[in-house]
Amino acid sequence: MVPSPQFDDSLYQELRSYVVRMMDRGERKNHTLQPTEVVHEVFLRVAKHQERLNDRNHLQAVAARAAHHVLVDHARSRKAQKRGEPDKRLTLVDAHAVRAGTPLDILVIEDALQKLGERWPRQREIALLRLWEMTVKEIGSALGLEETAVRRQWALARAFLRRELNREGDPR
Amino acid sequence: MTLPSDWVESIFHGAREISDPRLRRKYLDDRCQGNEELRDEVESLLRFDSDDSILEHGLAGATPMDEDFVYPDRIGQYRILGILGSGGMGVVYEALQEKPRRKVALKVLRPALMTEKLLRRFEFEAEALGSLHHPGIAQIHAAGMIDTPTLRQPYFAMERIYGHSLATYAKDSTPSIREKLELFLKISDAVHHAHQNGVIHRDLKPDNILVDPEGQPKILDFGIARVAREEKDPAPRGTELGEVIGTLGYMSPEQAGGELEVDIRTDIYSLGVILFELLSGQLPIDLAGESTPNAIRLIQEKEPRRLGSLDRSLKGDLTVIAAKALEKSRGRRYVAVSELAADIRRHLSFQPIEAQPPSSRYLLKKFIRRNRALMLTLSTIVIGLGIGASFGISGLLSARRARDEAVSQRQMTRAAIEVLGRAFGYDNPGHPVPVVAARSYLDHAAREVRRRSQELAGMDATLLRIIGATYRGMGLLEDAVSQLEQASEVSRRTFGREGAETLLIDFELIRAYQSQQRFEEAHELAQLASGASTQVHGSDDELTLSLIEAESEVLFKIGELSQAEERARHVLAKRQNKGDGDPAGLASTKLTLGTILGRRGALDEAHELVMESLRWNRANLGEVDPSTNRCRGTLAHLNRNLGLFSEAERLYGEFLEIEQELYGKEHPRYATALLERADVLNQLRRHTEAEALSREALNILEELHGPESFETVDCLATLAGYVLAVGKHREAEMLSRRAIKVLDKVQTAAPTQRAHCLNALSAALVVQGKTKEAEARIDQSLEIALDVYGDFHPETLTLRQNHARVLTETGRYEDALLVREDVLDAFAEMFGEENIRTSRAHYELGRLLVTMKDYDNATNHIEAAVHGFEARLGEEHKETAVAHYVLGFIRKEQGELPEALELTEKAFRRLSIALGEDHLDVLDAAVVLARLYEQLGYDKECETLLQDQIAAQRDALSPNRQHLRWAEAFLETIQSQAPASVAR
Repeated sequence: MVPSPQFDDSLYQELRSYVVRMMDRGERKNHTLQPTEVVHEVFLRVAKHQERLNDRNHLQAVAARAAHHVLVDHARSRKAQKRGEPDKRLTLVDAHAVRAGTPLDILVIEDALQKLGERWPRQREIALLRLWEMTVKEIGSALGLEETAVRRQWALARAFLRRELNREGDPR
Repeated sequence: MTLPSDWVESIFHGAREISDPRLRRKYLDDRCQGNEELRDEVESLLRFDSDDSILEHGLAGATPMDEDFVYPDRIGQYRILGILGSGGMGVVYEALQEKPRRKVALKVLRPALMTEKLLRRFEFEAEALGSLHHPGIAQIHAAGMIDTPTLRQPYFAMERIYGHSLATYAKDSTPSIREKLELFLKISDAVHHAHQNGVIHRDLKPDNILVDPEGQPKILDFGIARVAREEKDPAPRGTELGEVIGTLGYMSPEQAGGELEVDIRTDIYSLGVILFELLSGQLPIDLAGESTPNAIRLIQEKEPRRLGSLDRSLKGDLTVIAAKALEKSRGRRYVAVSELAADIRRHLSFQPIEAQPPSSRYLLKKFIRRNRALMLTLSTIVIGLGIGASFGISGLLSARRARDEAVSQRQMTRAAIEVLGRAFGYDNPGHPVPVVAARSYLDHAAREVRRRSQELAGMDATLLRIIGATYRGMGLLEDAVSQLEQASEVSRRTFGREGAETLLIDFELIRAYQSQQRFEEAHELAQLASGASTQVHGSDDELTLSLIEAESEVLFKIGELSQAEERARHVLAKRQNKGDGDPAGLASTKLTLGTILGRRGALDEAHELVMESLRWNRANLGEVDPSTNRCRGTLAHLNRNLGLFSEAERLYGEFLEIEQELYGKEHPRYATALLERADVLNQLRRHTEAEALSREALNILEELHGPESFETVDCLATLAGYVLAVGKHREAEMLSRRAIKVLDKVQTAAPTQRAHCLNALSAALVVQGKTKEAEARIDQSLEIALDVYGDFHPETLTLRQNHARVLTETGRYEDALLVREDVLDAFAEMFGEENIRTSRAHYELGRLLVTMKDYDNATNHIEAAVHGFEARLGEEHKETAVAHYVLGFIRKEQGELPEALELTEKAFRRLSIALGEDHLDVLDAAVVLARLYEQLGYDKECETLLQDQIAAQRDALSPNRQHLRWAEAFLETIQSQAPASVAR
């Protein structure tokens, strides 16, 4: 039973436009999940935090995390259902991380993020937000970090993720 | 094995900042130390690092010459033949002038850089530049505005010189030292000529000096740096990056700091760098691989290397001369190029140079002072070697290992003693010990060790370590690090990365880095070494414990207090549980933990630990010993924080005396302690003494660290406080503004320093009635303090007191009252009712209540204050007197005139004694007292008082006219009413 939060329309609209914007990026026509569904899930997760969200960037960060989890959970359950069948890929594209146009499996990304988080939890956090298109400045403000620190940590995360993703693509 | 994430991270970031692949490889070699796994990890990450990293870090290479650049055929009367070069400032063409017909170098400045103001200055300067005629200066034939095909641009037409740059000359023609010096003299003479004509170069560097085939140097671009740069932006701009990298190395600390007013001493600094590079082939401050902001910081803060440490043949005069030209503080450099040149000429003709320290007595004094520390260390060396390099100074090695290694150690020790014996002249008893400087012994020892490295068979690492440690003890950090790094290299070869000797060297290096303020490196090394030692030698090993303790010290220095405490507690517990532990180690750990706890606010526990440490050190090492004195200093510090100022004052006095005996006044610790003592004196309201001490500290710090270092800034703010306390409001404001300005410039400043400066400024503003800014400043300051110290810390509470003061000044009494009450409660709880700070808090609250006319409550607090002051400061103290005076005032307002009179009379007498009769507070008291006499009808007393006041003012050197007029008028009134008062 999901606790029904006070329905805050402006928050909902803001989240919606944010999630739609993010999901529309890149060439991903093959979502098996509609933005609305994602928004709905995200809204429920975010609404729980609402009293502590004091600024936009913070909200954005929470939304990004939630959206990420929603997509990952969704992808996992689909994978479990359709084991054996080739995946319809649910993807995210990071303009910086991969060659343009190569869609990536969100589970592959999640895997790489997981590995990154084991060694550098802070960098994982930054990478996740970065992958959800938050700018260095926005991340800094959301996490209370200097921009230079974010940039530095993102550099390490970026190299790490690229290495991992590349490894994934290698024939083993 | 998984690699520690922070190694990978730190090396990754370090390497990213180096774009040159060769330098980057070298960096990785250095940092990975043959750990292949680590290296693979970092390299594979670097491979996936994006290539825009260079853009992000702004380390572009030199501006490449644009091959497609189309140049005009003709500019004005000049026919363009080709391009000689281009750079941030503009383009240099080779051109043919028609009348008179000659080849010139035509420098056309980039118009984008020229503002109106610059253009006007350009015209003005061009004239001065044209007037310079010297064989060593590229002649400016003409300068002005010129029409290029697109627009009007400023230009210089200069003598066309055929030659190589100084850098190429020094590399290619391998001149001897004498030839180099003679060439340098020619350069100096040319610069001197310009200075005499009022022109400062501002951008002297080898690229700006050409050497023609006859060996005549020609200096280019005199004064152009000034014309081509905005006044408010003297620092290098981003668009000139390529040029900046080339220029930074020669830039003086004041230029690098963006100082607007450069003078000839700026050129002298650059000449110093040129001399240094000419002789040694290296820059005095190594900037390779540094980002621009970092390089700027290094220029301002890092001590230049000494010529002699790079090349032994340059030791002596030349080292001294270069060092004097390269002084961070302008005041310590040569005052004229001619003096620099004269010293070099003296050196060439084997006469004593001027730059030597002033007299042999000075030298002797210095030697004896230094020697004290040296002798202490030497005795430890001898002990260390005597027992077998495994105890004494190296007592960090466990006894077990000592037994195993004893046999081979004994042989090596014999060789080692022989080396040191020779180095220190023991083998030549007839030979008098030369009184040069203590360090020459060590330089000599280091040479001996290197010479006999074969027969020492690995022992040289130990010896180099000892020598390095001794340098460190003497405060010669650069030498210390260089020896220790060598030692580390040798040791790693001989004993391996995790060998006990290597780790011992790490231990010394950590401390040396720390003393050099290279905390990042110290931290990394400490982490690495303590980790390695734990793994290889076990967590109970003395060496491991010492390394963890060193790590704790570094953590303390970088402000990671809870981690620091955790490490120190760990070490202390281990050491206390060990029956056979090293008692010196235990004492040291207690001091370390005590110091950390002191900072964390656990003052009582800290006090106890430090006392224990002091007792052991005093009993075993004596009074005049560095460790004992460190304890004493820390104890003084704790007493100060505990509010036991008289005790703190006494301890600081002792500490400073011994410190001076051990290390001389030049040691950074000395200045720090001086400032702390000043603070204590200030707390005791001995402001004049406090001011004097902090001025002395400021001088020392400026000399040690340069005028824009953190240390100096902090000291400025402190001084501002004392200057304010003695009533020089305006000077206090200026001093604190100056400090804040420097902080704004230096980005990495510690927040507490900022809080400190802001507070000083606020206090200076409030007394001048500039309450609005004062409030903004104190708010900023408080915000920082709450963040850093939390709300229950003496620093924060002091700031809150000042906040209350601003609130009072702006009439918000209720708000001020809340703050004052809060602070009083906090102090009472923290220090007890009897403590002087608590008494002062009572007094301040009482004063506020007086202002609010709440006399009953005011009486309670002022009486509590009087009680505390009398107990702590004595009845005669001026604070006691002032409190009495306030009490008198309250009684008067309450209509209790006789009691008021009694109190005020007492206060007036005491104040006259404590402050002197001319003090404004005393005059005020006289006014109040006279009024009381009048009100009570004591006209006789009133007349006497007024006549005394009038006489005193008439006798005074600088009478207070206002007071005099008041007293005369009052006297007249009294006398005109005289008959009515006879009855009394």
